[in-house]
Parts: sequence; C-alpha cells; structure tokens
Amino acid sequence: MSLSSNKLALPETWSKGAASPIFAEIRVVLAVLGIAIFAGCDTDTGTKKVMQPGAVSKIDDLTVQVSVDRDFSLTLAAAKPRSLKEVPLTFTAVRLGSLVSPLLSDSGPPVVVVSPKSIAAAKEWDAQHAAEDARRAEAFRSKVAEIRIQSTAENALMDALQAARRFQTVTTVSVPQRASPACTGTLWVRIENWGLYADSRENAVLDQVQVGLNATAVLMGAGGKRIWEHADYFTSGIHRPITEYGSSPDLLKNEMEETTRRYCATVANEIRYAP
Amino acid sequence: MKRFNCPLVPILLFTVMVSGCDTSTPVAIHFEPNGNGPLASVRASTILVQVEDQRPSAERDSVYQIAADIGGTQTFYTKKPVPVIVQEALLSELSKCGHRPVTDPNAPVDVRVRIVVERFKAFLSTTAFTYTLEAQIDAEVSLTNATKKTTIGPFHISGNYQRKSKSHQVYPPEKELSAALAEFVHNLAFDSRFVEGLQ
Repeated sequence: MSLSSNKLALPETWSKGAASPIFAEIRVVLAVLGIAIFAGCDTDTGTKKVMQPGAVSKIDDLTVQVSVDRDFSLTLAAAKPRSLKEVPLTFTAVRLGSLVSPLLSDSGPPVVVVSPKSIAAAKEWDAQHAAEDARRAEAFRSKVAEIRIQSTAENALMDALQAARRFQTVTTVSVPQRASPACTGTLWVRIENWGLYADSRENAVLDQVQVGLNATAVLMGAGGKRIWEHADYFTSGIHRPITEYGSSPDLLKNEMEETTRRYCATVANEIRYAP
Repeated sequence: MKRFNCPLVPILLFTVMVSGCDTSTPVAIHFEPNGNGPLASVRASTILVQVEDQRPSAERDSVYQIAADIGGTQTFYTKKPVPVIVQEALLSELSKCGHRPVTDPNAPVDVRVRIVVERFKAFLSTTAFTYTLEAQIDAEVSLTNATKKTTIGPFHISGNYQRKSKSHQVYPPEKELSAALAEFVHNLAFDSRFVEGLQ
C-alpha cells in the first residue's frame, strides 16, 4: 500500500497498533529534513560582509565598543583523541562506514547511521572532558583575574585607530548605540571566547596549548548598517606545555594580552587601510 | 498488508562520511592575492622570500587529522610542497601590492623575509552534536632590511579557519586550508612588525 495509490483509505494495520508505512515514510522524511536543518546550522570564521570602497570615508566620528561574552576557558581534554571504546558513536560510524563506503565510493559519500545509544555515550564523554577542562581552568583563576581582556582590546583599538588619523574623533562606548547620525560609525568587537586551546590531538596528548580567542568585528555606519564584518579564530601560534602557564607567573597574562593587542591591531588596520 | 519497517528507523541523526580504506588523497590549495592594505602603502622594494619547513613529522605525512581513531589510514597531502604553497602565496600578495618579490638568494634585494612553517594542517574533532573543523597555519617570521641594516623578529604569525557544523562529511579540506592560508597572508601583511621591516 502506498500513499499515492490509496491516499484516503485508512491502513488496515493502524487499528491493530502495527507500524504504518505512512509513519515509516514520515520518519524517513523527518530524518532527511533533520539533516538538512543540521547542515544549515554551520558557523565559520572569515569575512561575512565585504567592505565596499568609500564606505569608511563617509564616517567622521567613530565609536568603539568591545564586549566579552565569556570568562577564561580551557580546551584541552576535549581535544583528546577518542578511543573506540570511549566513543560508540565513532565505533558505529566505522563499522557502517567500512561496510558502506566501498559500495558508494564511486557514487558519492557514504552515509552512516548512528543510534541514540551512541549519542548518549558521546554526550557522556563530552561532559566528562568538559568537566576535566573546567577543573583545570580553575587552577588558573588567580592568574586570569589579572587579565583585562576588554580594556586591553579597547585601548589597543583606540591607540591604533587614533594613530590612523582617518576619523575626526574616536571614542569608546560601553552601551551599543541604537541610532547614530549619518557621519558616525561604530566598531563593535565581540570576543566570544578566549583562553587556552589544545587545537590538535597531538597537543592534547602532550598537554600543549596556545592562547587564542574567537571574536567577531563589525563596522557599522549610519543607522547601524553593517559595512564590514569578520569572524576570527586568532591564536598566538606558540604552543607550550600547559604546566608552563601554571609555573610562570605572568606568561598567560602577557601572551593573552599580546594576542589580544595583535588581533585588535589587525582589525584597526583593516579599517585604516580600507579602500 | 505486508508490514514495512524502515531500515533507517534506529534514528538517523547524523550523516557522517567515514572512509575506512587506505588511500592518499590530494588537497589543492588556492590563494587569491588581495593587493591592498599596508603593504600597498609602503615604498616598493625588491624582497627575497625564503620558506623553510619545520612542521612536526606527523603533520608532514598528512595535512588533515581526524580526532577520533576511526580506522583506516587515509592520508591527505598537498599537491605542491607546503613551503612552496606558502612562498607562492606571499609572492603573489607582494607582487599585487606593487613590490618585486624574488626567490633567488643570490639576487640583490632590499629586504629578506624568512618564514619557518611550523604548522600547516586541518583537524576535525567531534562532540555529541557538533563537528569542528579547524585549519591552522603557524609560522615564525623574520625580516632583514639590507638597506637599513636592521633585523626584525622572529615573531609568530598564525592563520586560522574554523567551522562548526551539525553534520559532516570527510572530504579533502581544500576550502578550509585555503581560507587559513588567506588569513595567514592577511595577518602577515597587516602586521605592524612586518610592515615596519619593509619600510
């Protein structure tokens, strides 16, 4: 029995509580829709809005706003490799992937089905390693307290933008400007995450990390219209054993603030040298 | 009526491509020079660009790593050697900014740029609901200005790309590594130390 052949007739098995082909088809459709929705949730770094020539020249007065979403974070245990025993999700993928991939190698990517049990196991693994990272991050609490990410970023942006002499005035604001006059622009730098990152499984196994931040810079013109937007994952590029950050009193502070200043200088230069 | 049970019913939550076979896959890296920014504002110079490869040996074998041990030994390699990719990218950027980049170490130059590549890789990690693909290029950079007899650096420059998604298929990370290379060259070209070294 199919939907197309007998759309109005009730399936005989419904009244007996058996699985219906309609439900089966609906489930498949929902699954496909779910994948499509998931695929649409991607976020990535890079330029989101390209600066048009002449757009910055219309701005006389620039206000700078910096916001920091989160406190210091450590991503180390979460980057560690998952063994097959630890991650049934992966295990399932391997078994089905190795089974399916030879069949589909010429016709497209193989599809792997993962069971709810696997998801639960993966979530437990995530929770355990997030808790381990949070526990280790606590050890840095006293060092982190001395790091002023927001003021470091504000000062770096102000210094670089004032030195650029591209605007009549450059001022900082703590509250977003709802409406701005025609000749006023706003640079909003939102630091979404900052701290120590392992970045690879080799580093995670060796307990090596580097300082870095995730941030988005948005330049807005009159009426809050977006002129330029760029999302960054900005790192120092210097990988060290995490114990070094624990034993050297000012290492974390110095590198974090230096990386923040470097990031802000890059953002400021983007505006300074805008066409 | 024949009862129909869908084989996909055990909940199809993720679509993941996993290749369990032993293969080597080429990765083509693309770079498009920008041609603006501070580099275009400084006086045109003849610049020697030298690039060395000091990546860990594991990263030389494959420029793409997957966090979970998923079986198989699929490796990903760049079609051109990594130092050549980085060198050509910087050469084209300098050229588009009006400079005269060269690669012959015996040529008379105004500035020598030495880049030591420490990392050039993509990395896929997973949580229960999120796949994170990161591409990273790290290098140590130093400049010697033959005219002014000054040396700047070495200092670190990174170029990163990061994408978080709810589903993932394993494919050669060409777009990701190309984006990281673009960020690397951009961050270098907009770095005040680099610009200072060229002036």
